[in-house]
Amino acid sequence: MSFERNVFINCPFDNDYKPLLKALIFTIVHLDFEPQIAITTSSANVRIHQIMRLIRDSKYSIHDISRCAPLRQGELPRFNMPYEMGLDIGCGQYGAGKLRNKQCLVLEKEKNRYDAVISDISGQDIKDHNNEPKELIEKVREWFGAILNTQVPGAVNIWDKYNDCLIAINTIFQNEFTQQEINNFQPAEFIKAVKLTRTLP
Amino acid sequence: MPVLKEIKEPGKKKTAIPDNGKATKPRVIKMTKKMAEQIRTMSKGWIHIMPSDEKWRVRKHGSLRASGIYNDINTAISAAKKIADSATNSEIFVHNTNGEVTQTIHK
Repeated sequence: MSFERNVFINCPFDNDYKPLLKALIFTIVHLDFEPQIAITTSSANVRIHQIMRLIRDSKYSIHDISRCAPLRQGELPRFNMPYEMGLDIGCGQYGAGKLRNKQCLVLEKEKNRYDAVISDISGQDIKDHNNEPKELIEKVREWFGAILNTQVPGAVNIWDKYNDCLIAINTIFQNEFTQQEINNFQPAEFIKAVKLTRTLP
Repeated sequence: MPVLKEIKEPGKKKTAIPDNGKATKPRVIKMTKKMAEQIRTMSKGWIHIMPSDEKWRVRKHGSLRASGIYNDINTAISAAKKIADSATNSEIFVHNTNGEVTQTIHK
């Protein structure tokens, strides 16, 4: 896939975030873009190199920093997402040629929460999804609608298609996988499954 | 699913073979014409009930227009069942706010 169609996704991979990630992946594929996501099983050293390559190869990127908070009281928050977002913004600022055209969207759970923890982020395109997949679809669609020259489908249309897609995936894979396995598809598997449903008449 | 056992011969890489001695190939799931046609036929009878702004939308699969919007889930299910009566092999899917199916009603 080309630089022009690639969308780098920088987000958590935990089960709590999975409904949001699935909706995000579907929206990107539905709008004819190619989601680029790091394989989580790689070692730390391999993973960061993979991420840098994905950042370099993607015109668009979506960073979800909604989980930049300690999971439990007394723990430190996770810094991977802001770190990777910094790499991406830096790539667009200091890179040459096509890298100057990079565009990024930052997703948050609540409006202005980032002001308290990462105030230098002001000036970026930041949208809040309230931890709701439907709202995430609305915000991602709104962003693509603003930066693309072409008309993109409405948010309700994408949300309906997403619900249809989940049923189609269950039906396609029900003879090979249990429902729990389908629900727990890794991002790469889910991308393949969504693409498979797009071949339906 | 066959149980795999590990064999190792001197000078050779480890190989995993199933108990029945036959090598297994990773199965790639592809959308065949037959499968696509089956799903297309089945999906004609699929009806979705989806939460929307504290109400419930009833919608036929693939349709962008709601058949109706209802204040409570039971009224929505009744309405979906009426639509299902007009189709053969209907299935009603109740979704949650994540889009996941929480209940399937076979008609």
